[in-house]
Amino acid sequence: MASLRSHRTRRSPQYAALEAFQRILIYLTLLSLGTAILLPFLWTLSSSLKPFGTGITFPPEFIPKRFEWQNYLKVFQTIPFFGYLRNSVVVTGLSLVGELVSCTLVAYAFARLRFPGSNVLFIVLLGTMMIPYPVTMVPTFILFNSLKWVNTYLPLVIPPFFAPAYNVFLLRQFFLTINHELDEAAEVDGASKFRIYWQIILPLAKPALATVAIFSFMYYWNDFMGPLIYLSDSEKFTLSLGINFLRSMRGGDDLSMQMAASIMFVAPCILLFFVAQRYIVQGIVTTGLKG
Amino acid sequence: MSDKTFRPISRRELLKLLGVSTAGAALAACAPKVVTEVKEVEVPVEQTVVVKETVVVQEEVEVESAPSFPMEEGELTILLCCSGPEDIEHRQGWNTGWEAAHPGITVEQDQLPAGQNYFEKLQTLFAAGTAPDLFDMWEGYIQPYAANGVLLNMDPFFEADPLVSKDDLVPAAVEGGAWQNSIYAFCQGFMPGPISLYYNADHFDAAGMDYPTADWTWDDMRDAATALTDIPQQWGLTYALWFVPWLYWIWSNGGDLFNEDETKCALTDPASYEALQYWADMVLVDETTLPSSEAQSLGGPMNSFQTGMVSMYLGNTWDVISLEASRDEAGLNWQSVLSPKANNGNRVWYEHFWCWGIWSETQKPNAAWLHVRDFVLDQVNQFAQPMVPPLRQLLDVFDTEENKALGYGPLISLAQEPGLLRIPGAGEKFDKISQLVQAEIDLVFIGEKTAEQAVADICPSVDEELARG
Amino acid sequence: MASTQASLPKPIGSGRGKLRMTNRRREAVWAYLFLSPWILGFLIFLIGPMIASIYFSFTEYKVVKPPVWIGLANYTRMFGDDLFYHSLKVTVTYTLFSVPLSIVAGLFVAILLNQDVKLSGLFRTIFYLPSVISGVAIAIVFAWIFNFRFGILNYFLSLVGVQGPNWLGHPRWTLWAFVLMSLWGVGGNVVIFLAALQGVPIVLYEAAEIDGANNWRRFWRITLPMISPAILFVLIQGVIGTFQTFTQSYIMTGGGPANSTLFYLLYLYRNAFSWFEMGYASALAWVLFIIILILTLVMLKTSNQWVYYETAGEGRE
Repeated sequence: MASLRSHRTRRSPQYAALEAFQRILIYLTLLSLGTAILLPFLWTLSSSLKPFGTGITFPPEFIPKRFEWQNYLKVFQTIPFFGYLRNSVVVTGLSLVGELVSCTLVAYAFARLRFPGSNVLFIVLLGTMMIPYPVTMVPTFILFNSLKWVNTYLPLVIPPFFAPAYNVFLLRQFFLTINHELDEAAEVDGASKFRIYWQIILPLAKPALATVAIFSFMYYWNDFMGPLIYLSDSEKFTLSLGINFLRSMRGGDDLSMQMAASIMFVAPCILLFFVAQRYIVQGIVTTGLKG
Repeated sequence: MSDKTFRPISRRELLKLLGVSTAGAALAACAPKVVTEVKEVEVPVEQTVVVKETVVVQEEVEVESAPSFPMEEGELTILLCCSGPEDIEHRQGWNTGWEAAHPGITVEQDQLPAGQNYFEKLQTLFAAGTAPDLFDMWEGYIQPYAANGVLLNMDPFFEADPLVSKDDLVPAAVEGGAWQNSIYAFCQGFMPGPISLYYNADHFDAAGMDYPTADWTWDDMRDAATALTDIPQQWGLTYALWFVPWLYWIWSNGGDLFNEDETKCALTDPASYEALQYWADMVLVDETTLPSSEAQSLGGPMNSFQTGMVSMYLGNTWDVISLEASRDEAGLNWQSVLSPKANNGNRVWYEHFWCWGIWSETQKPNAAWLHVRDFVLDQVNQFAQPMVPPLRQLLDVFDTEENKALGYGPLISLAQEPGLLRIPGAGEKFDKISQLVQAEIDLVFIGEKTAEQAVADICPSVDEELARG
Repeated sequence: MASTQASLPKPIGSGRGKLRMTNRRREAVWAYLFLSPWILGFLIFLIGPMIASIYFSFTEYKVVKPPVWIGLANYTRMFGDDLFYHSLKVTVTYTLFSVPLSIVAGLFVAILLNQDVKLSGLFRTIFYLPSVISGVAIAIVFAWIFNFRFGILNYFLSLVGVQGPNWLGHPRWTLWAFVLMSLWGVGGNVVIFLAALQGVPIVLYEAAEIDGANNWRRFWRITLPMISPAILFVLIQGVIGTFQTFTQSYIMTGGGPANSTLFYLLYLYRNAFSWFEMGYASALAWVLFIIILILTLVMLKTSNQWVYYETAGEGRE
């Protein structure tokens, strides 16, 4: 861990006091900011346990008068939650793999290889992120329709295998921070570009890969418009779309049940993040060189 | 990406012509009709959520599968939006029964979860040429879609159909579903907006005041609000924000947004802006009314009423479901009465409606029509929330004890009066115009401008929009 | 246009003309191989719709009807459209304030979370939570936080003697409420900075400490430069992203009150899907594209002044 803490060699008493003070300050800041950040989440959690009809009181009641665990059960009774969950896992999983594979390949090219048109292509890459979706949505749909991919998962899981720009840009920036001397050493040993990519760059970029995994997962797990536009059979719906069935357009909106569904919906994301963040901070800190 | 977006118009015209001429030719052929008695099965209604249950009794209807509507074979595709899970299930059940009564045709019902994105998807499907045969339509979309030729003209069907005719439609249903005097959407039901003045009986009791009645005017409401307000614990009044609240204010007061021809902005008419000022004064001067932004931060106008922060709430029919739950869960002692009249004694509402549209390029126009007609005749949707049926012969379905208790009694006769339930007009331009006007009204409601100034400022832009294209 | 690539290791055998050419050629071939997923994807999935939408910008297109050519009419209309300028102004103001703020806040929190603290994993998860929770809950909670009378924000302000304004009710304040809200979603930046901080070699800090540098100098002279590629990413991505802000304004305020939160993309979306003006929306989209592109090019060009990439053979800065 790139912590400054562990490298204090001096241990004089005033230094220890300063250190302690700094630690307390850090904890305090983290705690207060953290609580502020947690507030909406806690509110969602407590709302999910309130019975339908209690409404949202002001100031908000964080502890419900009665713990209505039924709301969670109701979610399963009202929509095929596990079916949607399975669909989401499939779609998100495939998309995640696609992005990890394709984006690392393309980012490597931009970061490490020299080729004519590299600047122009990089600008084009960035450019693809600058076009708002409403204006390309209809032609894209018509494109997929002509490929007969509508009402399948293909429009959702195939494009991630073609290196979406956001993560390419992210990875490129990270790859550029990796010291070249390792590359050079490998080349002297006769390694091909691919081997350098596979055995040097990727292992050194673990934090970046973990970051991409997190962002990708979040994006595809929460993707609402994609499934909405391309899927017709409701059995195929992903969870992000499916939990909206708990809303009704006008009236009879059981907010508590929706909050319960919302909690269950974000739970995998939180879990994934908790696991993945360890890989971010576990990253390699040495340059691989001696002294 | 293909040429599908650039279809020649003539093909669509041709199909429409074919559909109309088939119906017409069949009528002309007039062979002896075969009367088939079809028993419609009573479909059990499953409830997983406590909802006010209106029992739908399905009668034995004599359906003539006459030559006038030769049923096509195959799959009828339906796209629903916005229905909750019980509603979807209920409809599926009814569909199964209908399929059994009409062998050769199956119903493929797709539904999207609630949200404005339904129309994004629908429009995309139109553009790609793969739209469903039947789909949900609601206020704000019927006239624009009809004007742009994606809805099938239903007049020929009304003329040919033995069970329903255009004259059976109550004025509000015609108003909501028509464009240029032809019917383009068959409305399953409609409700005025805002329909009710919901009030907290406990608050009224505590203040020793009489409950509101259906004869109340705005002044009565205003006085009550003043008496009931005790900031910050209790406000007198708030109003629902769905669609455009100020239409009811302006229309009831005798004003309008446009002139007759819809060529000029009519907001500068004193009847129009004085209505706006009246309501703004209740917020700014009396300080008895929660404006929209304040209401939003209290969880929405209905929620503020549900939690007892507001004594009176001018709301919609679908609020009943949540309010009933509040009655059970939180002991909210609420009642409702028809929304008050303007001070001139008039009451004009905008319409909320739920309708079926048929795609103008459907391959199965007859099947689609029959499905829609039967759906309306069976009032399948009554269970979801009470709505005034569109046909005169069905109005007594609405005449239940519960509806009377909610104060909806007068609606049955009011629905038959033309001009009481209106749609805004200006077709596809209305949404933008309402946004422009709303921005100005926002300024009025924070006291930055008077209503008179605001309408003077915005009318030129409204005129510009009306003149465009 | 200055090079956006850091300088690369010299190919083996440089100095011998012919061999260098072949090596370059080989490298280019490899490069295009590695790039092929993106290039293919671009040609198959992206370029068609892009060209289509450029075409639409010269038409009147109601989506439900085929497009009708009208030449430059959409563009001339745009330059006389008050709402175009207004929404652009709203968006630019928002970007101007929220992007730098979220970079600074993200970096601050990332450094905090990088410390040797107990339960750091838990804290990191907490800070990332906001990015995870969706629409309805956020809208409701923030409406409460910003409530004029009962909201927490104004409560805290009153504790220091400041009368809090009507954040979501008055047009003058709503955009600032949005800027504050953007801070809540700082988790994404935090994650990126955290990952970047891992790449700073401890050796550098040790050397600096021996030389007697204090915390601040270490931060300024070592940390910042070493994570500058990540900062560039967050900056450019921030600009590209916030120029396309849509969801919050759509869900929370609908662009109001009085159009004070009418973001460019919300205006565009309405034209596209609510007002049957896909042609005009397309024109709006391409004007936005050009604006963002110019800003990005400027940022990239000036980045050479301050972004430090690991280069072969060169000493540390």
